[in-house]
Amino acid sequence: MTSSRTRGIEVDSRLPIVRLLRVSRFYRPDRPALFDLSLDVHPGEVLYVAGASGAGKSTLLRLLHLTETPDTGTILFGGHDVTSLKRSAVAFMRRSMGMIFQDFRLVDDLSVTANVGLPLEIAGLGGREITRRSEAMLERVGLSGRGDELAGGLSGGEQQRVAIARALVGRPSLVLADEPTGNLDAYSADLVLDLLESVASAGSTVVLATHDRLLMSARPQRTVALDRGRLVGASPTESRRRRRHREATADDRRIENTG
Amino acid sequence: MHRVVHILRRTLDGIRRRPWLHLLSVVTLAAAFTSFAATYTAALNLDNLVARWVGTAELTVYLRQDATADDLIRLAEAVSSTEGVARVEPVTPTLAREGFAEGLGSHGELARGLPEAAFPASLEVHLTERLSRDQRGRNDLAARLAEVEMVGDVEAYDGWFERLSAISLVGRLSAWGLGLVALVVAMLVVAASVRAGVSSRRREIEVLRFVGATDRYVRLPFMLEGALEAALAMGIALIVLQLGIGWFEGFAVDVLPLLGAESIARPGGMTLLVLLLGGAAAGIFGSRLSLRRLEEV
Repeated sequence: MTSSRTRGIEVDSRLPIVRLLRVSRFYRPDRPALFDLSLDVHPGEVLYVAGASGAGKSTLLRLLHLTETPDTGTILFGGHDVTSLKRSAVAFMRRSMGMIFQDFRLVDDLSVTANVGLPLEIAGLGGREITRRSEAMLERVGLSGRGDELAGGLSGGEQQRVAIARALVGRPSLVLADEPTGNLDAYSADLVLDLLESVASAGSTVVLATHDRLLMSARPQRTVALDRGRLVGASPTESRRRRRHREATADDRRIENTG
Repeated sequence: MHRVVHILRRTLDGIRRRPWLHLLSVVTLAAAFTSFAATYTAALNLDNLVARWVGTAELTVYLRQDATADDLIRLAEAVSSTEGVARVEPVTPTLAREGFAEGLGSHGELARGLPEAAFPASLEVHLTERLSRDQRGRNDLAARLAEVEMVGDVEAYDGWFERLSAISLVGRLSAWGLGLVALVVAMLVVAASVRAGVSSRRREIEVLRFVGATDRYVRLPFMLEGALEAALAMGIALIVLQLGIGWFEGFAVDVLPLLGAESIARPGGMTLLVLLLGGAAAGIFGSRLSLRRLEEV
């Protein structure tokens, strides 16, 4: 990133894709949402952020998504300080990210295809390419042929899959998922997690916030735990996936958003 | 290029999703713009009438009923040589009656049936430019002409022209005042419409921001919506104006000749274009005004 109008997050396998240095965020002076948090997120890994409600998981994801700025500390993307980016630069950075919310955040009166294609529209692709890639992504999430339906008419699990398709259609470098399985049944939750892990295998980095211990124990990944805004644990220090990725990748790889 | 297409598509999509709201806005704006356009046209025609009348004879000298044709000729020669007089047109009773008949248009035969004695001979006295601007000088000349034995009356029209000029000025000011009101109304109506649109599309705007849309990308469709609304309303107003003028001319066909006009003047092509663009600009300003106050946009 050499200017504020960057179009992507530069990924260097030797550097963390995201680094938080002593980051704090206060909504009230006497109760920090996050306090003195330092954390590295490595390219290609799936990182679970664990903690009870109110631990600061969502706040962390909002900081990573540049929706909020920290009150203290620094956030680096690919080695570049993004703590105080201009509004227009934030928009461009977000084109390299995919965000998945617990409540899906779909536009109910738009079709499924239109919802999925929103990131591609922002990136400036033409209508046909948007439709082609959206339909390919819908097929991947198991919703082939449902593109013309209104998003508001789908079930919870289907809506979450649409949300995931939207988050992934732009081939983001970084995927942020806030309790993506919170409103899903076990089958749909497995489907969602399989998909996220496959995305990580393809090179994207996934940060997933969850309070579901069963999920974490069933799918061991690198995990950091938060409690009242503080980092209270991490295990292991490097995921098996990350170690394999690091060892297999010898050269720099740049993943750019198509915007 | 694709982004332009997407923005235009979003604009039309926004209109399609709330057709009744936009229809209400367009109708409201069209009413305001029609009022302005009608007043502007009335002021335009009033200006033309005043200019036409002021450009005619500035003094009319009416001879006595018993004046002869020779009296008319002698008086015309005497007045022609007076300082400040540019030219003199003698008008015999026959010519006066014919001129009156022409002024009545299709009812001219009524005038032609009247006796010539009902129309006194007169002189149309056209003044030099210097004396035209000198009210006191005109009044002095009128007073001297009135003292001539064969003269029955002298009409200087001063009072009429002053009143007409004042009415014309009031008409112009009213038109521009209404124009200003219409502009403010347009901005407020469009601002309200945009606010409603943003409110109904909050989720979509939120998602667009999350996936990396810039402020401009989010705001432009709303601004275009406002511009289209106002431009369409102005277009409707101008069409209504043209139809209204055509309808009014049908009623006024007998009256217009009496006023010295053949038809009702319409705003020219350039004026219409300016009004149309002005409407669109008002829509854009109204949208901008609304969007600046809405943090989520």
